[in-house]
Amino acid sequence: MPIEVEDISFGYHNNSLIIDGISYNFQNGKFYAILGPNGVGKSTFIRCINKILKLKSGTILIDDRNVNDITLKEMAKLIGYVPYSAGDSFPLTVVDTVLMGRHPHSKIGSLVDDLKKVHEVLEQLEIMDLALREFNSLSAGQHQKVMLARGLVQEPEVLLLDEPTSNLDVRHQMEVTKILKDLCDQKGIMVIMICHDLNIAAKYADELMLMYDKKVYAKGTPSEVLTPENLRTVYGVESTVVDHNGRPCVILDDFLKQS
Amino acid sequence: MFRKNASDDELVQKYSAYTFKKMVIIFGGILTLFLLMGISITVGFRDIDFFQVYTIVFEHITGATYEYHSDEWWDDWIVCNTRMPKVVAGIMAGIGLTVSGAAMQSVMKNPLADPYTTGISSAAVFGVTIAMIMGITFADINGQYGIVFNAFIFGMIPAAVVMLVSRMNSISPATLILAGIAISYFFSALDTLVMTMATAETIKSAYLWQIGSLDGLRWVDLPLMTGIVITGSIIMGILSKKLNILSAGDESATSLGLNVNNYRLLCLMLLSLMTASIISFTGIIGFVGLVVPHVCRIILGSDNKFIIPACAVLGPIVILSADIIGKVISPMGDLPMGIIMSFIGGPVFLMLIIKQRREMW
Amino acid sequence: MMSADEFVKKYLFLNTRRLMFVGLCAILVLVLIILNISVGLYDISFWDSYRVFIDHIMGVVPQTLEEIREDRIIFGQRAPRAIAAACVGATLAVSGAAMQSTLKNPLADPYTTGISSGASMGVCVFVVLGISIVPGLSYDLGMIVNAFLFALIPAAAIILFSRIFKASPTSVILIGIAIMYVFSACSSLIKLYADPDDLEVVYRWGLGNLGSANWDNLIYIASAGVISTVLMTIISRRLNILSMNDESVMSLGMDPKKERALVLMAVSLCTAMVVCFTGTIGFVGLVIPHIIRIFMGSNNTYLIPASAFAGAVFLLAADSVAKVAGTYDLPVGVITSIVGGPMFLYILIKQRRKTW
Repeated sequence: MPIEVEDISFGYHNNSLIIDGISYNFQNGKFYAILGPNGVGKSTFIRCINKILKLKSGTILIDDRNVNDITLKEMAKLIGYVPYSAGDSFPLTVVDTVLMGRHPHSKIGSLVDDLKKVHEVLEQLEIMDLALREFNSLSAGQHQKVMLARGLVQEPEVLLLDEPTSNLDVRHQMEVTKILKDLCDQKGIMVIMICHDLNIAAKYADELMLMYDKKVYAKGTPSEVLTPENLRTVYGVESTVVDHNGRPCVILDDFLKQS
Repeated sequence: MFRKNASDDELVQKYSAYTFKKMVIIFGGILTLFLLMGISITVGFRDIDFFQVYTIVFEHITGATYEYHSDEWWDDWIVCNTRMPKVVAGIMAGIGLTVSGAAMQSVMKNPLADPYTTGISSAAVFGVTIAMIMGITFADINGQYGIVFNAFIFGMIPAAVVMLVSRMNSISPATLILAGIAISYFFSALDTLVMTMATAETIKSAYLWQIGSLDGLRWVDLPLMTGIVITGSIIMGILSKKLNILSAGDESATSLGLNVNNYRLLCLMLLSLMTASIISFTGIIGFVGLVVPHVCRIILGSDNKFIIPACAVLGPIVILSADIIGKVISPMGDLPMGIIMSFIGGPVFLMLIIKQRREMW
Repeated sequence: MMSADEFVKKYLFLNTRRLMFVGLCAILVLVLIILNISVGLYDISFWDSYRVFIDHIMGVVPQTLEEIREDRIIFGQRAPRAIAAACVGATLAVSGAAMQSTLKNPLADPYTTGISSGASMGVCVFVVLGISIVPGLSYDLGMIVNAFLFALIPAAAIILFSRIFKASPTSVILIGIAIMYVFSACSSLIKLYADPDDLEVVYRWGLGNLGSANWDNLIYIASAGVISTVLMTIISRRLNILSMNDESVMSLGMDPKKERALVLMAVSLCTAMVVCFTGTIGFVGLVIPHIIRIFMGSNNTYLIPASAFAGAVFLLAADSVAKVAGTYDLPVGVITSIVGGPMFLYILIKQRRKTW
């Protein structure tokens, strides 16, 4: 289910634009990582894709259908969204929270099937032992896994993830990203993930989109995008990029004073 | 070694400009208040010229005396003995209620909170009803002071209960609010119970007491209210920085060195005292405690360092304006200020909520 | 490692416990209805009441004078009142639970859309000023219709404003407060110039009492109770989702602003329907859901039915006390607050789980 983004812009209430003239082609079954400095508009960008935010200008076509013609409910069956945080803590158990993700699909009497799906995802993410805990009693990393579970349970064709691993330890970061990669390879789900860890992105993603100054600064394979020049301009860091098993690996040397 | 460079100065400059603007607004408010005081005294059954008001007050302070029962004597007497105390009371009520409201909203972390959220108003009303209907008072003094005293003592009961409750379990603001509501319902029901034994006339007098108004207040009524409100507001002003920290969340606040529970209790006690001392004399003045802090936040942002003083200025402005309008519409002076504030203030508040886009809460 | 089937079984088992709690409350409702019926000025024992009630339903015709009198009292007077109490309690509790989830605020209750201030003003306008929106009705009916129609005005205004200006839940609450102030002010104004007798009528109306329930108006009260409970239970999963932040709600396929407006409308209609007959009975709608949450958690699928039955039980009990305790025919709202207040406080202190 390809997604075509054509020259889109977005801003709040006639204020200055947050993203300005971004175009991109997302193809079926690939793993995309979106990188860029804080506040550059990465979250804003992905929220435009699944209609959480309304575009100021430009069009987005999902499978050749204009996003404006797709209802929120249809969207929920196509795209799963994993937010950075769940907002206010709500006193539900983990199972009930994840179960909410079945809403676009569930019908009367589908509870057992829904539960089986929840079970499958909880096992996959290794959080089965948390199943009956209350959501607000969990740590931030556990929150993130539950949010991911909720997104996965939607059985979407596309997954949009806003920094799904930033609160996880290194092992879980790799594990979760690997799970996403497997979903991509084995089930053909398109993964679009906002990521702050350059090396994790480099290791797993097929294509990187580097954002800077409200636009797309660079796109392509990890090796193409993660160059010391790009990193210097966009992040303001001095780095060395080495090759490891065919993928680039970024080693940070220093950071530059802001001018 | 760190050295100050250009951008540091720039930051200091920008912050100063930012605070300067707010100071100007507050200062403008104080000037308006001063004017309103004058207007408030001017309007009334016996017309006194606007500028003369200030002269009379000045001369009174500097010890002028007049021939008994002469025109000047009457002017002086009306201004200084009947209207001034009402104006001062109005100012104190405005300061006390709005500062309490702002503090309550921060402490309870809920935009719906106002000074009466812990149930003070219901308890005070109950105290008054008991005094009126059953003649039970805490003091031997009957009549006017018995009622006031009852209102105050009963008004402090919910505060005491809430404090006790929160000592036993350290509970969240949401639970505190719910406790306050339970207490409020309880006293309200007791009040109703007692009222069923009352005649229609008593119901009417109890109802009239309850409506907030500045009528009938004299200088003798003021010392308690004024003392508590001024002390309380100053203390609250000093503590306003800590109020900001509280809104960052309990854990963050504790890690910044604030003893959250104790601080919350202190604030609650202060504002209960202020509120109880005011409503014992004026009746329940609603609206200002809830709405004025919100309006201040819309204009000045959510920094309590500015909100508290701003409320202390805007509150009296609102109350005095309502009083003036009331007197203009009905020279007999029997239109209570609470009604006017709600009538005019309600739609104004509504417009402000709609106008502002920014999520301030 | 649990298999999928074991997992499903365990989940359903845990929820079975909740269902049993709901069932228990339902049984309590039935018991209390009979209790309520048996209480009153004319002494009829619990089992006699039960017998008379069942006999009448079965179509048994009363023979002796004694039986006829009992039948008339129980079926003519007390039964409608008891059923009304159950339905009113259910409506208020369910509406409260729904409002709290939708507006994400523990302070919300069925009257947050301004129903009480609107109805109050409707009654003031009718009793003091003699104005009735639908002319030509009898005194009682006129007051009821006025209360109902006026109750909906602030609610409609709040919902309209919220939709047009796309308000967040907090803003909805604030808008509600602003509108309520205006209506309250109007009522106060009217009350100020009213003579004491009219004022007393208005005052007593506002306290809430179930005395005006009879077989004619029971159909309205009962439909409010049944509709609100059934409707909210059906949409309970949507209510669960609505209590999350807006972007999560949208990502699951629901438009949060639209859904919120719909819930508010449903709650307002049901609550107004109840309030216009009984006056504003406070406390039930706010506190019962919280009490149930302490026992059952916040999952609306169980919270709503449990609140409905618990609300019914509570109001039936309070009404029974009101009937017994007073030659004054105490307003039931007084009992709910005097008993409920301290009880709630006690539970708040004792509870370990953080429910909010």
